[in-house]
Amino acid sequence: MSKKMNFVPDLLPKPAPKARAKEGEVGRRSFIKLLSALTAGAIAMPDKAEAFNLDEFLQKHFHQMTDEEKQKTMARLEGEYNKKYSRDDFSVADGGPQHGVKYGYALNLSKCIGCRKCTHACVDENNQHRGSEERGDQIEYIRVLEMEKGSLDVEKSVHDYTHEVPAEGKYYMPVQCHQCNDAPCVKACPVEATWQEPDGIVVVDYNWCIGCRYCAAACPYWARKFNWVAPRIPDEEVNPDTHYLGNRPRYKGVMEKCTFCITRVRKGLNPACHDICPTGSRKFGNLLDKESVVRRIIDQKRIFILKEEVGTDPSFYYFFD
Amino acid sequence: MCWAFKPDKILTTDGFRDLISTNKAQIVNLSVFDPFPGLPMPVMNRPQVTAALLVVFAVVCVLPASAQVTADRTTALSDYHGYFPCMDCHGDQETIATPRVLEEEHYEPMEWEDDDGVVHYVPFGEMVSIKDLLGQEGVDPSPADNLARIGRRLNIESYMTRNDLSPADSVWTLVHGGGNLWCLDCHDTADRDKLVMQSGELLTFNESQFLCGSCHGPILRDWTSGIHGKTTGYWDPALGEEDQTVRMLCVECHDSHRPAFRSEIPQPAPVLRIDGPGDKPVHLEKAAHIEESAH
Repeated sequence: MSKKMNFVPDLLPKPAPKARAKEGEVGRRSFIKLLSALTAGAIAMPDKAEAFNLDEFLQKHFHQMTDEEKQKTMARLEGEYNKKYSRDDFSVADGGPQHGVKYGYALNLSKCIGCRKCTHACVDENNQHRGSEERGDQIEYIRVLEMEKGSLDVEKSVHDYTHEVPAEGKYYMPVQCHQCNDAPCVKACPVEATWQEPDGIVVVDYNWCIGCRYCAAACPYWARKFNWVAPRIPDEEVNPDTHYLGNRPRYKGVMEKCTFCITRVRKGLNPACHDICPTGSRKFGNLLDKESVVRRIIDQKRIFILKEEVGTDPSFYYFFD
Repeated sequence: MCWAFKPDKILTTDGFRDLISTNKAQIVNLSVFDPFPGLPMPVMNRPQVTAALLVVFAVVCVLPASAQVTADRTTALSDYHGYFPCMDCHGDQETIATPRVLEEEHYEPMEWEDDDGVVHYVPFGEMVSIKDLLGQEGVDPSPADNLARIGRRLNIESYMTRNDLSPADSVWTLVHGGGNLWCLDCHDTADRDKLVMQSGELLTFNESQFLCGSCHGPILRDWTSGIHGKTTGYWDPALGEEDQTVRMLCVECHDSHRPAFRSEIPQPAPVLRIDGPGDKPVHLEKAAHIEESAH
């Protein structure tokens, strides 16, 4: 192994020996000065949003940042986003979880009509890539599966139906991130760019993600989506109310996922998909509160967990009534 | 069987909590039933006597009354099933009673000023769709006083201008109850702005959940505990202001005259992206190509 590594020093620029340094040649000190000047120039370039940013490059993992560093990072990100989307009202929050709260979701399959309003409300709320016009490859966290009545076989489900809903003999099962308590995506990440927060939400640090997509391969619910291209969000459609671990605009080459609308739920609001649902199929609440609606559903209704056999222990429950 | 209302701390509907406390379900105890309390028990214990008394009671009281009720009911249903005379004035219910969550533009309470400068306000659920009074002479509404009162209050002209009602489209069908319901099963005969329970108790239109629950008991039970129905705002209402968490009433999602959700075209479908950013799954194209070359 050590022999193989011998080539590395050959590739590095060799410092010129002091004795040989002549006027007009680039010495080590002047090379470093030049490098610094180039870096400063790259930072100062006003029109290139994707330009190299030293602060971003040196940014620590979210867990390792002090409060002061977090503040600086959020301020920097707000500035970047304001410039990129020609706005002045961007806010990037970094609020932590509430004590004694663990979020849970319940979805009534008897009531869902498959209208996909949740899918598109989610896109609007969470600043997902709207897709290029010719391809329309919009990133969506929620897939609504059209299932045969009497069957739970997701292999035979359809998720690109366009006919009127609800169709005869079908029922609809929206699938999104289940915020697993034993999340395979978290275990698969080689750089700890994704983790589960104490309130149950599995989040991604987009500045730490290396884009290896192991987590997407590990997820049994196809809940993780990858930014193959730089996300396109029209200026007028961008949601400026964001969270560092949630719906702030992403970069090309990073993974993203549903966070139960972390920017909303940590303020006490329901997720966007919950509030848009015209049938009231979606129920959200605190699993640690016995009086919460999700706990009542678990107590009173017949619930089931999708792909329970894979042992991911989700915080997302389906029920019939 | 009786079930009890369970008061719920997160209910925000106006007056709902008061109604829960004042309208408790009445439990009727049917286990001890003595139809002839005056007679001595030894006589009543003889089955022949009891049977004879019951036959006499049935012939004298029950049969004529039930026959009359059945006849009335049959007449009413045969005449009105599929078409309702109420709709001659209260037509265009689809315009006025469309549930607010199903429409892009939600139906909002109405407020307007009449010629005398009086501001009128009709909250959700008031029966406001009255037509054919404007410019039509000789209308003989029944009961006359009531309808005239509503007509004056609503200022029909301004109302019709606002809603662009078409008097010609008056045929309307009730799709609720499988043909066993008609207008006056829910609406009070005398006061058109009130609903009536089977017990005769009057409810405002903002308390319609109790009327719905008189047939759909388990649904009302679930709605009361938050399991059924749409809620918007805060998952923990304590974190928001009092009016920021909204529990929708039955009629805000369901058209009470046609309760089933109507079919609609769904939002656009996702583009399948299995192997990468392309618009088609790449491996399927490859497979098709291989199949073609094999043939």
